[in-house]
Amino acid sequence: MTHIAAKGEEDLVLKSARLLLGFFRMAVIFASVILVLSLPAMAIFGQDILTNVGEKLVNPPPSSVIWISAGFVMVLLLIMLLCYFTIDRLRKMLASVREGDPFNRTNGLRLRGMGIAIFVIQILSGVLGALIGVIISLLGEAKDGEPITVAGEFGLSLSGILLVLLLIILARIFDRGADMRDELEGTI
Amino acid sequence: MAISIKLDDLLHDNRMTLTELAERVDITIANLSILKTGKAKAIRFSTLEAICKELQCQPGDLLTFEDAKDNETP
Repeated sequence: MTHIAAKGEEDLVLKSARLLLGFFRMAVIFASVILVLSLPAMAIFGQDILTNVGEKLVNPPPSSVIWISAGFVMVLLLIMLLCYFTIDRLRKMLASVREGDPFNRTNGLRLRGMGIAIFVIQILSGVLGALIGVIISLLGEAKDGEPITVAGEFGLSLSGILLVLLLIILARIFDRGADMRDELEGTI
Repeated sequence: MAISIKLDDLLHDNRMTLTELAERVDITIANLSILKTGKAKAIRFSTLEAICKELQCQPGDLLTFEDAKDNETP
């Protein structure tokens, strides 16, 4: 039988989730700071970076690569902000579970917000994929003949779409739960 | 609300206070006050049974239905 933590109590799952979310939050903040700092750095050292990269390529890359890369960083920054928004909502939901009052309308709103944020992340991920494609095509061929590849997958994913659906449906369930709780509270 | 509670009248008829009734039916005064003021959304059969038993009345004596249309002036 599963043990459900009483009000104010924290079982292993809740504690682990809280620590993990705290770590993710810090990681997202750190990554966002790096991305923000990289934007002026790209403006200042962009031409030097382009010259260095150009030495390894058959044709020197156009300067527009820097601006497209800056756009890439900005989209990535936007994704980081949405990740922070999602993690923050999840932390607040976790706190409401710890307080023993998870079935409320605020949590329904939080879930809906998280669903929308992840949907936007999915779309922005597609934009990142397109920007990478443009950057690779602008860089052209490398002198050693090896094709230029980028680690990581960008674009819409089935799991991401399922997560969005799950969150939207869960939001509805929480709304209904809040209705039922209100009814129960008004029953004498 | 179309359903109104006649708890005040029944308490008066039985010469009983809300506190006394609360003690007898084992319900908090706060909850009985919610019922008395018509703010309750629902009432359990067990609560209704206990109140009717203590006040020696029928559910119909406690609850009355007033159609909102009847009260409207033409």
